[in-house]
Formats: sequence, structure tokens, C-alpha cells
Amino acid sequence: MHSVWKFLLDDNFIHAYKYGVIIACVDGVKRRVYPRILTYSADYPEK
Amino acid sequence: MPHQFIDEYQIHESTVNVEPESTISESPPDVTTRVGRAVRRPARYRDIPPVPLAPAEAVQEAISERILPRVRLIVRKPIDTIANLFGLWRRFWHQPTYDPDSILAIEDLQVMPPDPPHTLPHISTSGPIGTNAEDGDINQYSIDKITEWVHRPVREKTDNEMQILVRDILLDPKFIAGLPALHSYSPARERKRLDNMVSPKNQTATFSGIAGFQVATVTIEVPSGDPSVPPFIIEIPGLHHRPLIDVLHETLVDPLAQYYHYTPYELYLDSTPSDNRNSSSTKKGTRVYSEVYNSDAFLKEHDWIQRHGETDSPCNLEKIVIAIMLWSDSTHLSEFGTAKLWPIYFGVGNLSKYIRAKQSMGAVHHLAYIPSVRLFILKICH
Repeated sequence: MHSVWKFLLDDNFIHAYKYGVIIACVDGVKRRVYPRILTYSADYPEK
Repeated sequence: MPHQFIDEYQIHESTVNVEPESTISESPPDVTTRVGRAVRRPARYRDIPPVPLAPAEAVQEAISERILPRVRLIVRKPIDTIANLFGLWRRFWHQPTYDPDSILAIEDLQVMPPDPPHTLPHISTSGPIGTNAEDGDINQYSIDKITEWVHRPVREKTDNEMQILVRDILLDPKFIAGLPALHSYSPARERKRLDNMVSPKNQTATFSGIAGFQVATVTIEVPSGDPSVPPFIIEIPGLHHRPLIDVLHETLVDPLAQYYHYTPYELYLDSTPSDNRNSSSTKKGTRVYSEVYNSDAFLKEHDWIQRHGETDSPCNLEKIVIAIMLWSDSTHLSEFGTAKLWPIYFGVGNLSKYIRAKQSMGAVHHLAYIPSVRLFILKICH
């Protein structure tokens, strides 16, 4: 399962994690976004 | 009207722990015989009493002088809101630049938040099932639309769902054009067709229709059970994944993003009677935890970014944290026939859980689909 994360945590993401990535948000304002993984759950809410 | 009061000191210091001087206690004296000769007890009766760790000064390579503990003083000037009717008030560590709670109307708090302003999620012509109805067969188009409707995640016939049925399917000109084909519609046949499409041997065909997904092969090591034998390397194909950055972009241009909290806060409940509440200069309250964006973890991350956030180019833009929440588990088989899938879902903690949990909002994004190891093993064992 966790070998999967080798593919998901690519260089672009690591760069964004450290330095943030500039994204124009839905309100038109550009912000520097730092992604942070706060939860990882081994189940999801039922449909 | 925000309430301001001064200076909360937070002192972080490093301390050096010094173990107390200790002596190693002696074990009970050995037995002496009648003539006074000391006899050692048998091994099983000999106690070795616990011994504390050696004191820090005893370490040979220790630095000769004690270093002064470093004191870091973080001074904050929090911004407090006044308490609402129920006594809930917020404390922001940093000035909030955008407050989504202010755009919530009374109706939003009572029932569910309104639909995002653009439109409801459309049933697209190439849906998650991969029925690429764009190419060719107009007869199959109408049938496929029905199939997609059957597999929509929301099962209830809510007003939204009925609206989608009428607007996106029944009134779709292509659907109307292909109506005659529905005379031969058979639910069982369509279900079988879907099963075949989503079966492992066809998985690449199925998901290539979804924009942005790449396929990869995962390499795993399986322990051999014997320390002298190295682990087996198995390669399992069929990991469908999207770059995290792409999903991140998507979540921020999503209309739901207007409800995101970019500045976290501490939430407090002041349970004193409402008359006495906002008059006194000191704020009272018990800390309340309800969302990711009023949790300590988020507060700390956001604070750290404000103070230490590095940038790769000179930047004046506001620095925000997006709290990524991930879920993964095997799917319920009823949705996709007999195929086994293991999706990883991506949600945003900056959004209120009341909005995120509502399926019809489309707040949760698909990040990846993990191939089933068991199925793969079964295949190669034949």
C-alpha cells in the first residue's frame, strides 16, 4: 500500500510542500499555498 | 467588533535534565553457613535490583561548560471575536483575510449549505464508468446515459437529483435522438457489459477516459520468511494515479472553495449568562474542537508557515495552508459490479465537515486507484 505513495509524492508536490505553490483561488486572489497532509484514514464515510 | 487584548507570552525553553546522584544498591547478602563461610545463592535466587541511568555528568564526552538554555519568546496579539448568542467566540492568532462564515445565510446553518453557485455536477458524456459515448453509436448513447444515472452516488430522489435527471438526461438532445434504442434496453445486459469493462483485464481501457490519470506499476517486496533469503520483488501493474498538485489545483478553483477557511482559529464556548458576557474585559471560555480548521495541528502549521514559510522566489502573497485529508479503503462491490477497486480519496480540511460530508457537493476528489494485489496473485498463479 505504501509503495503507492512513492508515485503520489512526486517532485512537484515536494517542492510545493517546502516552498508553496502560487494558485489563483476561486475568489480571484492569488495565494501561496502550502499543502499539508493532516489526516489519513483507513476507511471512508459510507455512501 | 473585534475585542483586542494584549500580549500572551509563550515561553519555549530547552531544559537540561539532570539525573539525581545515586548509588547502586547492594543485593541482599549471601547466606552464610553455620561456620560462617559465605555461600552464594543459587542463580535463580539472586536478584539484580533495578539501577537508574548514569547521571548526565558521568558522560565522558560531555561538554565542559553547561550551555545556557535558549529562551524563545513568541508574543502574540490575538484577535478575538465577540461571543454569539450561544456563547461561541473565536480567537485568531493572525488577522484573518477572508471569513467564509460571514457569507453563510441563516438557511445554511439550519439545513445544508446551498449548492455551489456555478452548477450542479453534470452527468458528463464520458463518466467515471468510462462509457465514452462521444465516439459514434448514438443508439448506445441513450442507454449509457441511463446506466450512468443508475450509478450516481446519491441514491435518494432528492430535488437536486431529479433536476439532474430532467436537465442532463431527459432533455439532452442526443439522448432524445437515441430514444428508439431504448426499446431494447435490458438492465441485466447493461450490468454485464459494465462488469466486463471494469474487470481487471480491461482496467486501462476503463480509466483512460478520465482526464489526468496515469497508470503505473507498483513494486513491492514480499518477505520470504527466511532471514537469509532476500525478499521477493513483485511488480503489480494497474495503479491509476493523478499528480497531487493537480488535485490541489482543482480543489482551489472549485466553487466550494469560497467556503474554505484560510486562517484557523481557536473556538471557545463562554457559558456565562448572555447578559454578563461581552461586558467584562476578560474573555472566558472552554476550548471547543469541531473542525480541522480550529484544531491545534492546523493552528501550529499555519503559524509556522506565517513565521518561517520559505518561498522559492520573492513573494508578497498571502501564505495559506491547505489541510489535505486522505481516505482509502476497498470499494463496496455493489457499485462497480464484480470488480475490485481500492480508491484513495482526497478532501480538504479547510472546508467545514458539514459541507464536505455531503456527497452531492462533490467535495471529495479521486486521487488514485490501487490495484488489487490478491487478484494479481491469483492471475499469475494460473
